[in-house]
Amino acid sequence: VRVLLAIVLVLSIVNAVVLFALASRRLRLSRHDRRQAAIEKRFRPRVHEFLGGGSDLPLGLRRSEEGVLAEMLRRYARLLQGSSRRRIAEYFVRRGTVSREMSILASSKRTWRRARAAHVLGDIGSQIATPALIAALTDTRPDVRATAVRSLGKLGSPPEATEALIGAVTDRRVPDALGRWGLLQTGTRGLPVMRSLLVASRPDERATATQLIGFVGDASDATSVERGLHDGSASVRRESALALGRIGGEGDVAALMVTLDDQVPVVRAAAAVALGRLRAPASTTSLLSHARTDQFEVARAAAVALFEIDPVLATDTAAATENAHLLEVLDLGRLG
Amino acid sequence: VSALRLFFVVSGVGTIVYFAAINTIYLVFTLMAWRSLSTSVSRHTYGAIEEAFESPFIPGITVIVPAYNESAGIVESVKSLIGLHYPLHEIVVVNDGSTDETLDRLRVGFDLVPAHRAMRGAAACRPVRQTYVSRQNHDLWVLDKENGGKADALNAGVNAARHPYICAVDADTIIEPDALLDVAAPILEDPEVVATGGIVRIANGCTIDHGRVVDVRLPTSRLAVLQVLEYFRAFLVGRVGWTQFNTLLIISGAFGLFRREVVEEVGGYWTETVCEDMELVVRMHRHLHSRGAPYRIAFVPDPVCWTEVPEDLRTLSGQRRRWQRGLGQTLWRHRGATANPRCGTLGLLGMPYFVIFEFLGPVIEILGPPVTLVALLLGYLSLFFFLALLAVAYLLGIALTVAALALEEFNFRRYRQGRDILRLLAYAIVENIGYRQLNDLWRMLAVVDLLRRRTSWGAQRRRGIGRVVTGRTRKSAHSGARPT
Repeated sequence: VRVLLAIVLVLSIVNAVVLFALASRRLRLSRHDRRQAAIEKRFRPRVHEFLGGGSDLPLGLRRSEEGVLAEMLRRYARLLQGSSRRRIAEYFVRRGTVSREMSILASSKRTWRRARAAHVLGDIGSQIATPALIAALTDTRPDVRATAVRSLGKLGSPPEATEALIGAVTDRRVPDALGRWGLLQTGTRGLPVMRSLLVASRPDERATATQLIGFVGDASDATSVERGLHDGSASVRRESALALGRIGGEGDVAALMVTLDDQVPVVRAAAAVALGRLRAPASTTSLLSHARTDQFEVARAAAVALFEIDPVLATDTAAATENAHLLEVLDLGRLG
Repeated sequence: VSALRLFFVVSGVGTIVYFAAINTIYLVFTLMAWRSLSTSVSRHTYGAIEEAFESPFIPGITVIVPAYNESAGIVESVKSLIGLHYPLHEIVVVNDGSTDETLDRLRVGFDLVPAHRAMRGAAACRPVRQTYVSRQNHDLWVLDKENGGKADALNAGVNAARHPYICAVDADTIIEPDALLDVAAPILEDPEVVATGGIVRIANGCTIDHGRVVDVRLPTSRLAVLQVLEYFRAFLVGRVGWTQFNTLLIISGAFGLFRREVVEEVGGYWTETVCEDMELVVRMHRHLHSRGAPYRIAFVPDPVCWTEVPEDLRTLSGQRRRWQRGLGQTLWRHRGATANPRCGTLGLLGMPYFVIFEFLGPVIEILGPPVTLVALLLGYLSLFFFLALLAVAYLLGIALTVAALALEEFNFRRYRQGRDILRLLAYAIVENIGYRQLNDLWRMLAVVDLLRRRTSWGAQRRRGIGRVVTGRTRKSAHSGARPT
């Protein structure tokens, strides 16, 4: 009974404290929100003037005011490009914010503080932060690494980051879709590194490089990409086929038709997609055969490709064979 | 006399052990949820979700909406789904043999025309009579099929899906614009994630404008406010806790994302239960565990799906009894996994917990206090001990509810009005007297139903909230989203 009474006492105190804390916290936050909104309203005209190239922002502000102003500027920086964004970056460099955040990113023990610093550096958009963000790609925590990719992307993924980004993607240190997005922000500036990785020893690196060349490369890359159709790795073959669909030409059709009979379904489907994009009339017989007999995904890709290349043949065959994939593609084609 | 005494002693000790165990589990889960939610919120704030979704490399998602007699709100619901912020998604509405104007409303609302759709046959379902596509939006498809129930309709949607992930969404819920982005985030971060579920919140009392919740307020109905607290406990504590052990057994049918390939491998949804959401997840766990490959099923506390909850006792009791019967069916179907070490944490933690605390718990909680009282009257128990035990139980109940409320308040703060929080705090104090016992009684009756082999599911009046244009949502009664 004594133990139970002690528990009752402790629980009563804990409940009372938590109830009081929650109620008072809510009141405090409401006041804080109102104060923040008032400060923001006061600063808005000055910030707009500053972004338009006018007078500089006020100095000697109170800490709370500085915090609101910094948050406003970061919000604008996410939306703006060009001279306004550069002005924001210069402001933060002058105020010492960039070096402070870089230092936090490099040395803070708290994950959320490092992630926040990486995020802020991306918002600010100063190129000075590039080395710190590249270093953060090897941070011990995935959240920090992902935010570093995001911020490098916001900085336009400088070419010196390409190799580190590819490494982060292929080592699965960062989410795949995000890492590849980061690499795409490099644009054609990253091509030399990507081309060199087409012959990398690791299949993941070859596949990633091939995929990105498909997006930012040009017809001059087709020959080296086509070699990937004979790669031992199915993912490299798949990415090569898809890339050829974007940057390839008539000269790649024969190789893609061979790939249409690859043993791996996703590679066959990719080859069908590529042949459709290249509008290759020579492939219609093969595509028709795959649309009628192959696995679901391959058959569907072949039906779409066939309709893109020869709508009349696709229509006639659909009517004659009642093939579900061709009928679907045909109905969608009619709708335009 | 000694046999009677033994019975009361054993019952009393059993009740105390049960009580201590369940509260310990909840306390541990609450502590784990504090850590997990703050990490999740930080990830959401400083993460790179928007940028990831600008990427052309993100996986597509097929949103499947089973609809049965949803004419009231189906057009608004589908409009809100089309407007979801996700770069690559299609909507497949499955009209499950509705007897009202659901199909006509869809036809007119989205300019539907008949079109062929190639279907996989991976998940068994009743025949599809006709497929339609919207002339305005080729990513909106409607399947008109023979009535077969929600699970059957979902299976038809799985067969029609084109994307590698499927998202099951109830036709009478409202999904926040960014919810699909957020619920898909774990699959981008970790290729081992095969399913994710989001938090379900209560729409009663909120202002809804054109299928969007624009002002989050507490319901005026006392019963609905009590359910708000219940949902906080279930989602912010229970599901977050189970996710830490990779033993999440329920992904709410109102809003859940699954890797299509795995759903197909297990044969789709089981059509013989209303608890198809839990049953599918349990089957996926068993299948993936037996395959030996690493996998993860995650709960994401951010994505928000809004649903209306019953505001009258009759409908609420029907809903709870239905859920409990569904739970019983799932546990019975997968009884081989319970306490089975070959099923990993599912067999050793998840299934035993659900059998003891979720399925049999209500029976213990209803019968425990009267037995203890009788023991007291017969002099087998001291009055002080009884009162102290009662006080501990009551105060612990408050503490756990307040902790769940604090999790909400510190991490999400969705209720912006100060007086809503004060009301929730007040309800947290009274919730343990009456409402909890009533809930246990309904669930115990469901156990009795199952023992008597009464398996009819009863009517599910579903009226839809999507149609509310502005103003408070009206009182309604429908199946809702299981919070357990």
